[in-house]
Amino acid sequence: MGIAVDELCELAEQKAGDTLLFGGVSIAQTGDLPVDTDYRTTAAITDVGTRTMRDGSTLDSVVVLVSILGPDDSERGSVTSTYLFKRGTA
Amino acid sequence: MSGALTGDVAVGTELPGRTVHGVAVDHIAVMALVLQDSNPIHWDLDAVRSAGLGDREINQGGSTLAYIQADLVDWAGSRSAVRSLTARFSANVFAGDDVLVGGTVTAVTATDGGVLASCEVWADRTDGVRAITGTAEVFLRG
Repeated sequence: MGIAVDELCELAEQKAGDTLLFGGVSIAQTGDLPVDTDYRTTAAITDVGTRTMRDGSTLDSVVVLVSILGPDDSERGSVTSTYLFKRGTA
Repeated sequence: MSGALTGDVAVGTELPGRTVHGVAVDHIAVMALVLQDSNPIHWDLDAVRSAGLGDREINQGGSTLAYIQADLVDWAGSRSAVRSLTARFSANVFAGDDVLVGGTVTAVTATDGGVLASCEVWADRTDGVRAITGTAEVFLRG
């Protein structure tokens, strides 16, 4: 899905007791992906957020966009993933 | 290549659907290794319990989504036919759960060489809890 879990957790400063959940994903194939072709990926964090849940806990979110580019640098596909960190549940 | 024929597809057409019987804890562990997924809710019951998420290992969301994707591919007859897939994960699927996936065509748009079928898709646990709600666009060759 575009980012290693360890890398994601480090980025979100995960602490003991925080729980990582997968909130959502959007996958799009926007161009042909022929075999025997070199592709390049780019990744960016496009949004972060935080909200307080009804039980008083904090839920942080991180949105990661990964794009797949062809040899001509045209976008062939993308994956947008939303990861949730439920803070301090332990 | 087999798959749905454009003439058979209309708004309201239901995807074939599939059932995954008893999500295997071994499969969850294997996927954690393959994906280098260090999130302990997939393999450490103490972590699952202390997070307040229950008492069974939790299936990777991507695996549950793959059940939907497999249904779409079976229907369309080609992996490349699935042009987009969007999902919201609303509940966890646990080791041992049976999962039903399916979908319905909500729009059909003519395009070069075929049609683009827009679909609502879903994955339910057999206790009635919806784990995934999503949409997909699938190209069906004419």
